Amino acid sequence: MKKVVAIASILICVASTWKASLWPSHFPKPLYQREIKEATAAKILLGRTLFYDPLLSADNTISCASCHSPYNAFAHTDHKLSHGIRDSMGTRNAPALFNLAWQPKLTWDGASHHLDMQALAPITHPGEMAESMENILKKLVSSNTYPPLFQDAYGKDSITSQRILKALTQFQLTLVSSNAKYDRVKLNKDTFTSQEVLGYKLYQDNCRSCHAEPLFSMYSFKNNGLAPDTNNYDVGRYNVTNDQKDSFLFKIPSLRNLSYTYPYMHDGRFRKLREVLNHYTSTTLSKNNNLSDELKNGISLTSNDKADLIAFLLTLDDKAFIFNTDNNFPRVTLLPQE
Amino acid sequence: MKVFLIGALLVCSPIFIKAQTHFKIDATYANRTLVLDSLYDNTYAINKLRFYLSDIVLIDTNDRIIYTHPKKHILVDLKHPTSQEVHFYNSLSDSTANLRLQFGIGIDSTTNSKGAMADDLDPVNGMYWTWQSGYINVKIEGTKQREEKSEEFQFHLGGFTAPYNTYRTITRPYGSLITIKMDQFFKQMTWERMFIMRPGEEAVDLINQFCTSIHSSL
Repeated sequence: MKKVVAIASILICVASTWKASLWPSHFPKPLYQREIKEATAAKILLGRTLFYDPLLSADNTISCASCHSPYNAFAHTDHKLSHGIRDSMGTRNAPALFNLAWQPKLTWDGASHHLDMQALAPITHPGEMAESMENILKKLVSSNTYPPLFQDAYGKDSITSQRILKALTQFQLTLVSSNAKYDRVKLNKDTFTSQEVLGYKLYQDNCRSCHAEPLFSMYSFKNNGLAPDTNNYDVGRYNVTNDQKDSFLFKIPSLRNLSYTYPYMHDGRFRKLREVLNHYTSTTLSKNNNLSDELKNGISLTSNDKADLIAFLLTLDDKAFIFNTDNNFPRVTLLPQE
Repeated sequence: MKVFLIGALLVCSPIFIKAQTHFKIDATYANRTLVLDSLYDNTYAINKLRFYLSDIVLIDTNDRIIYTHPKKHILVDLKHPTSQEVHFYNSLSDSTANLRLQFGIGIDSTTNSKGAMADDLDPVNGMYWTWQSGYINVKIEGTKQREEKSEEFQFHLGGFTAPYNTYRTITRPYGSLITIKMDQFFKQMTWERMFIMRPGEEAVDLINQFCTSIHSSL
């Protein structure tokens, strides 16, 4: 009985946070309107449980959270490239997961058009979780945990691959980062220091055409002048479109939560923000035909400018998001005996 | 509840259904039903043939759509012969003479851009690419003999964005048998690539070949 009450109160709590936080007043209207309308606390809890459950991998060793940790804004700090089961090595840096409801395309090359279907990629990739949906269904049906969770979320006999994917979406849509110092300043609840003001101006002059406020990304695809990586020679969006114009284009990542999401770039080649800025101000940006127009005239920043700009960028760290207990490991469902 | 019952009776009542008809979509080789895993012309064998039929309608001589199939998308799999039978309950016309059958091969871009779906569109059917968004419209797998050697081929044909959109709408005279002449399909092959697993020019070429191999037998 106690457990039921506990779960119920958590459900109510999760639901209220979700509705309140989903659409911050200074954010544009999100995509996924239908999913947002269909959201319930039970669906979100089911999705959150699946997200943290290694059952989704072939040998039950890794979960989505293995490479998308809540304490790293759902990226994988300190790992250049993501790992899969049996120590296999991926080809890209695990992207941070937040504000997904505003992203028309997912993954570094935009291969995925919808959050539901995005989850299929890591689940089935032999170098990631290497599992099949059929087998996951078998594991879920025979578990003690999931039949009641699916029942609460979608009704009787509702364990299907469609619901697995939809529930994962429901949880991921709740990962909204909108409580950084920057946001508080925008809502007149805080003020920038004088150095942050200088940095904000530098950001506006040099960065915002691609990393636009308030999401700090246009979520489109650009070639930012990185030399092709020598390990994988990753051609980025060209993989998806077969269009030469898209060679070496990658999705613009958000500038939010940079302190938690290093290393940077699609292949994690830069460990420090200073290295990233040095890349953008270098005169040796890869001058291939696809270099984004925004970078063609070069960016010049003094050493002091870089310090100021970094001071501003750090106001985009969202501690409240990182430590939001609604987003982390769901003890109530995955460790109910404790 | 009562209303529902009456409604159900009305819908099921034969009085309101003037004609029932169906067509079968069949793959053939040299005008005979293709049997999976059989070797043809000592060269080709098909192990797997699956494709989607979408938005099936019957059109009369006045270009009116007189019937729309209630299932928007049907997965046809040669392994499951019942999936090859498409039934119509045609309430407007007694005769199917001079009607045209129109259907899509594959999944349109609108459906492709939606989220996870169930039944024939469930990703467990193996007709969804996992590494990128998109349904596989037509999946043809098999072997080809080349100099005593059996070589595998796998054609996963899909893609729903320009310029490599592979969704096709086909119109044929309505008949009880629609055939996909696989010998005709193979005749057009260049066999430059044995594996086509992504949207692109090759997929567009093969989908066009596949569609021109579809015929109606009146």
